[in-house]
Amino acid sequence: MMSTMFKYLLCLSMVLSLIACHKKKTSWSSNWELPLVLDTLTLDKYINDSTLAVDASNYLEVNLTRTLLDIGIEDLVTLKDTTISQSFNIAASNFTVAPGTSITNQIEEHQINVEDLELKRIQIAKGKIHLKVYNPIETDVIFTIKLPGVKKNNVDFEQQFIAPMGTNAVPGQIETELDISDYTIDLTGAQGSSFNRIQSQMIVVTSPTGPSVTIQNSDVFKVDASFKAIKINYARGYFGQQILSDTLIERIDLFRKITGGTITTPNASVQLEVINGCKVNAQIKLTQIKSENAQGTQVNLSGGAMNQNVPINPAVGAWNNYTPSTQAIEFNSTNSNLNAYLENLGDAHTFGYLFQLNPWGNTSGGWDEIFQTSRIQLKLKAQLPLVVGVDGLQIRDTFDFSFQNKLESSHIEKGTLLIDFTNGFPYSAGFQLEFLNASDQNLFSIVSVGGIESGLAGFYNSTYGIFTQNSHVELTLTESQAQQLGEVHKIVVKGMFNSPNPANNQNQAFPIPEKAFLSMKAKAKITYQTKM
Amino acid sequence: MKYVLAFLGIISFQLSNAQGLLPNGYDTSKRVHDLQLEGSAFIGSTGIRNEIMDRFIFGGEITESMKDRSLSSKATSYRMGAGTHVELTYRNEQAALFGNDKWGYLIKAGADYLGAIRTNKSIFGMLLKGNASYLGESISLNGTQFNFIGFQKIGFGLIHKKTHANIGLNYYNISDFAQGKISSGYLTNAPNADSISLATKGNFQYSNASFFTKGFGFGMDGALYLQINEEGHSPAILQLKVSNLGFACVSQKVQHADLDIDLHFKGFNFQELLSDQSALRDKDLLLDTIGVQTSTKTSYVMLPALIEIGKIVDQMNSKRLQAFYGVRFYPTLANLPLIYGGAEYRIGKHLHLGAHASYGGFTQFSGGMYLHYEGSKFNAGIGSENIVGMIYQKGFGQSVQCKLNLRL
Repeated sequence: MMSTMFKYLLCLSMVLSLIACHKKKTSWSSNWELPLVLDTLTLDKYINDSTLAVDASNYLEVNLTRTLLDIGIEDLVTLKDTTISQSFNIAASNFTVAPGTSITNQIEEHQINVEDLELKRIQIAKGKIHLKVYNPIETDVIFTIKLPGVKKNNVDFEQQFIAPMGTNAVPGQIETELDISDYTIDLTGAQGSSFNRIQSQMIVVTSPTGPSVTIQNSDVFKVDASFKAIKINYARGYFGQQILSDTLIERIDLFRKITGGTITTPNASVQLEVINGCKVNAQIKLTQIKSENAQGTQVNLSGGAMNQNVPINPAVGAWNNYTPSTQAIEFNSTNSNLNAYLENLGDAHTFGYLFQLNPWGNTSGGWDEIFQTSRIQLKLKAQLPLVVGVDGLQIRDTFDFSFQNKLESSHIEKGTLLIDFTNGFPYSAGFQLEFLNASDQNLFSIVSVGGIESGLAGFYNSTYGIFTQNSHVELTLTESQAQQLGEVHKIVVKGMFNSPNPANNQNQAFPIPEKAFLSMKAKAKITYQTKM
Repeated sequence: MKYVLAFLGIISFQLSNAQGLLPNGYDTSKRVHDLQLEGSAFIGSTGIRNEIMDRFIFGGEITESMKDRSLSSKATSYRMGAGTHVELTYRNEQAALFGNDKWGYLIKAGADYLGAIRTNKSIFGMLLKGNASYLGESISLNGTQFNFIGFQKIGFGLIHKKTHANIGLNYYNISDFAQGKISSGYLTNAPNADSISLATKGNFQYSNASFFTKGFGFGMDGALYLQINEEGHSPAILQLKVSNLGFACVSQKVQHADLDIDLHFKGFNFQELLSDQSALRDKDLLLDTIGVQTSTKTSYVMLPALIEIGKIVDQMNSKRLQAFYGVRFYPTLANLPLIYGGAEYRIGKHLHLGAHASYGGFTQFSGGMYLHYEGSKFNAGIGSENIVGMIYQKGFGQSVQCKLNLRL
C-alpha cells in the first residue's frame, strides 16, 4: 500500500514540477555600429550628355538640348494598301481560238490613294505586291503582267504565270506575293505629266500545247495587283499644306519635390531651333509655352516669337548631299519674361506648336522632295552659365516605409544615424524627417543635428581645385520613436537649401565648379533588443 | 495509454531543467514484464554560465553583468549542448522468442531533442553584446559548428536472457533538423565602424517544412555486459552501450546554403538603395551576389549516436560501496568525450546514493549525485550529473535525470 502511494506521489510531484515551468521570452540588448551608405554625388553624368558643359573657367554651364518634335518621310508621305485591277473580255461570243493565240495586250492607268498629296515619284523602302490572275476558259493561259514605270535597276517590273484552265463560273486561278523593296515608281502616268498614276499591262496568250477553245463575251480575264505594307524612303511631288500640331508636356521630377523658396538665374536665355531636312517650304507657330510648379502656379512664356508664324526655308542639295535649313527662335530676359518663367521652378512644361508645310501652296511646281534621312525637328536649346542662387529652397520627397518593430519580438530599441559629408557645392542644407502613419498623419519628426555647410565656407582643396567643407549630421531615433516605427508607412525627407555668401551670410547666386561633389558616409548606431 | 503518452510528452518538452543518465546498474534477476520509463534533460557549456543558459531555456532578460561574467571565462573555445530524452521500454525475459529459450525481447518508444554548438568567445560575445564592443577586431569563425535534431523512435530488440545483452532496431521519425559548419572565416569590424569584412566558407542545412515529419531513419540500440574477474576482487561488470547508431534521410524542404563569401562592405551606394533593379530588392540575387548559393535537396545525416563504455554498479553485489567509471560521447556532435568516475553506497536495504565527477562532454569539470530506490517490484531514481550547476547560477551546466521501473 505504502509503495503504491509512494509511486503515485512521485509521479505527481514530477508532473507538477514540470507544469509549473512557464517559458518567458529570452531577451537581451546589443549595440551595433554598421556602415550604411558610402557614395559621392557629382554632376559628371550630366556633362556632355546634352545637359551640362564646362566653360573656360572650369565652371558648369547649362548646355541643354531636348528634341520636342521629330518627324520624317514616314509621317509626311504614306501609301495605304492599294489594289489595282485590270480585266479583259472579248466583244463577240462563240469565238474559237487556236492554241498559242494572243487574246489581249493592254496598258491601263490607275489612281493611287494618297489623299491631298500629288506624288510624282516614290521609292519603296520595303513592301510587297500580291498578284492574282483569273482564267475563265478551258485551256491553260499564259499571263504576263508588267508594271511600266515600276523599276528596279532600270528594268520594269514583269511577272509571268501559267493560269490553269477554268470555266466562266469557276475561273482557274493562280496567285503569288513578291517583294518589291527598292523599286522606284514613276507616278506621272503614260504621258509623263500627271501624278498619283500607276500603269499596268496585261498580256494573255492561250497555251501553245492546249486544245482550241471557244470564248464567250462573258469570259473575263483578270489580274489583281495589291500593294501591301509599303514603306517609302523617297518621295517627290507636292506634299500639300499638311498641318501638324500638338501639345507636349515635359516633366522635371526633381522640381515637383520643391515646396518653397526661390532661385535666381541671371543672364538666362533659351533657344527653340527648327531644323528642316526636307526640300519643302514650311512655317511654325509656337502657340504655348507654359510652366507649372508643384504649387500649381503657372507662368506662360510671352514675348519673343510666341504666337507668330516663323517661316522655315527648305533644305537644299540632292539626296546624298542635302543641307537642312535651320531657324532659331530665341527667348531671353530682354525679349521675354524668361527669368520669371525659369524662377517659377515648374515641374511641368507645356509646349504647343503648329507646323505647316507649303504655307504658300505649290510654289515648287511639284518638286518638293523628302529623302530617307530627311527630318523636321523642333529642339529646345539652352546654353547659359549654371549660376543659381537659392534662398530657403525646400525640397520634399516621400518614400514608402515598412518595418516590423514590435516590442514583443526582436526590435530596434533606439538608434542614431551619423553622416559625414564633404561638400564642394556652394549650397548649404539642413534636413528633417517626418514619419507618417497609414492616414498620412505625422507620428513624429526627427530634425538633423548639424547640417551640410556650403563648400564655400570651407577651405581650398588642392586635390580637386575647389573649396570644400566637412560637416557632421546626426539624426537620432529615441526609444519612444522606435516603438512607433511599426506604424510608419511613409517617411518624408525635407531638405532646406541656401546659397550663403560666407562673407555676409546673405544668399546669392554662385557658379558651380566642374569638380563640385558631395560625398556622404553614413553609419548607424543601433541598440537592438533580441527576443526569442 | 493516453496518460502514458501525456506523461511522455510532458517530460520531453517540460523536463528541460533536467537531463543526464543515471549510471546503469547491472541486475541479473529475470525480468518477466519489466516496464521502464526514463527521462533526462541536460545543458552544458564550457563558457556560458547557467544564468544565461537558464534565460535561453526558461526565458528572461540577459543583463550586461550576466554577459560580462560569461565572457570573463578563460575558455576561448565555447561549447554548448542541450538535450532532452524520454524513453519507455518493455522487456520480457520469460518469453521464448521464435521458440528459442535463450532470447527474450524488448519493445521501446522514445523521443530525443539534441542540440550542440561549438564557437568561440568573440562570436558569442558579439551575438550578445553587438559589434560595438568588437570594433577594430578580427573575429575568427573557424570551426564554428552547430547541430540540432529532434526525433521520435519505436523499436524492437532481442535480449540475451543469460547475459542481459540486448540489441534492437529502431525506426526514427525526424521532426526537427538543422546543422551548419564554417570551415574557415573571419569577420572584421573596422575601428570606426566604416566597414565590415566577412570572408568565410561553410554550409548550412535546415528543414523549414511545416509538417511534423521531415524525414525518417533507421538505427540501432544495444548493450553488452562483460564480467571481468580479477583475483582477490569481486567481479566487475563492464558495459558497452550504443544508442541511436544509424542514418536518417531528411527529405522535406531541406534548405541548403553553401557559403563562399568574400565581402568588404563599406556602405550601399545611392544606385543600390534607390534602383528598382537593385540586388537589395531581390533576396536570391542578393545572396548570389555576396556568395551564398541556395538549393533545396535531401540531406543524409548520421543520427546523434551515443557510445558509452565503462564499469557499472552490480546490483546483485552484496558490497555496500561500489565504484563506477567510464567514458561516453556523441561522435556526431560538437563535444568532447565525457570521462566520469564515482562511487555508489547502499544505504539500508533499498536505497542507493551515488556521487561522481566528470570532465568533458559539453562542459568541463562537473560533479553529480543520484539517489536510487531499489524495490522488488518497483525502483526509481533521480539525480543530476552537474549538482553544482543545479544550485549555482554562475555554474556551467545543469542536469536532471529520473528513471522509473515497474516489474509487473
